Amino acid sequence: MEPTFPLFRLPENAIVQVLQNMDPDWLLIISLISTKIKHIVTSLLLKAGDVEICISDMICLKVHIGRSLLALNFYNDSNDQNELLSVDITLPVDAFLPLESKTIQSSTPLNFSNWLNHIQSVFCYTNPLNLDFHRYCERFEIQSLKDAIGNVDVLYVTSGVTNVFTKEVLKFFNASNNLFLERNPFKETHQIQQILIQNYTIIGFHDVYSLDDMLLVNIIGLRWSKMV
Amino acid sequence: MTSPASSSEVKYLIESSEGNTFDVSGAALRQSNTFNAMFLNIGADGPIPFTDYNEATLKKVFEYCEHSVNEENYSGPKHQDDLSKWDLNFFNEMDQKMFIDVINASNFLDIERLTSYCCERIARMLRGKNTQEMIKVITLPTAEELEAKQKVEEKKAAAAKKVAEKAAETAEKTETLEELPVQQLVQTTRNKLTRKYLSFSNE
Repeated sequence: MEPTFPLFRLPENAIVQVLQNMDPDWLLIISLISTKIKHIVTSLLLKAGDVEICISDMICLKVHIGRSLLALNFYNDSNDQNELLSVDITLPVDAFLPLESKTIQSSTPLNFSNWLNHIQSVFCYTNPLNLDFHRYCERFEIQSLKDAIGNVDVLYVTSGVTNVFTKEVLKFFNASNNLFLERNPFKETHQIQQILIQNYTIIGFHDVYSLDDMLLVNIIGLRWSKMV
Repeated sequence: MTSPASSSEVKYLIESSEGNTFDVSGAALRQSNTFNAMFLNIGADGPIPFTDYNEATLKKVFEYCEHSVNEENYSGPKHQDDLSKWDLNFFNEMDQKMFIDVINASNFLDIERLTSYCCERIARMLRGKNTQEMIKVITLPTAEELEAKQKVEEKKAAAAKKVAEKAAETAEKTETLEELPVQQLVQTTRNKLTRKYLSFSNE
């Protein structure tokens, strides 16, 4: 039988000291028990420095808190890549802690957007997120992703993403500060130029570009690789 | 003896909830920030009342303080793996009720080292559990229990106030004692002068 301990019968500052001794993984789990506990965890003022979302056949959320990394996977449910089913991210979902091999559930069911809000509020993160798209991300519907994630600071689209989906990503997440495109998804030259002409802080473009494309760019940082 | 002094030989009398008193060395007691704030500079006239905690709990807490008197100054939490054999035995031999009482007393007395080790021990108990398992482990209190907890905290606040009042009273007494020699001096001088005057007038 598991040993029990009436934690919440201790004085408040002893509870805070107990929580200060816990890693972000377990703090997240305990914060899901009740609103009161969530407030106590939030009051520790553990501030996330960076939150990154990687979307592939699953959604991976990485939260950097000081020297610790809290990694969570969502929709890691398919073993056969050929049978990836489309996902409705508005429905409740469990999170999985890959480093601890543990599935975590909230006392009230949370969808992906709720998870994101909970984590951002517990770890005091208000900045726009970093968002990466990888191969097989097409199983997620772009509008739902936009609704859940909102504006992003850094957008990275890898070459594994289809042209159609890359165009959708660029259409919905056009407010990003830094853009990294591994592949040009457009057939017409002027279409990629419309992207390059935007006022990003940094653009990374790893596909073929022309001198005209280069002259259009008006940004601080630039990473090119394949000039025609 | 209950006088203020920096020597570790000085013993203070502690009064428990049962009304029993027992000795604790000044060096051990100085690990309590609550004691330092209230009694260290002014001393205590009579037993120090920590009457919210029973004798067994207070003895356990001060056993830890006596043991760690010679340890270097506390510099933040130490990992459980770094605890000495004595420390581990100290924690392992406590049952849960005693452990909770010790945390409460240590928290009230503000003994950083002991509170920190106790809290790290509880955190360790919670690691590796998922939400449902954690709910089972921490046994969330019911509304009645929350109400009772609030009452206990109010009672503790009243006890802390009582201790503070006692400290203030002791401080007042000390001030009066300091004034006594001057009054005596005045009286003695007055007596001498009267006697001198009387003998002079007799002559």
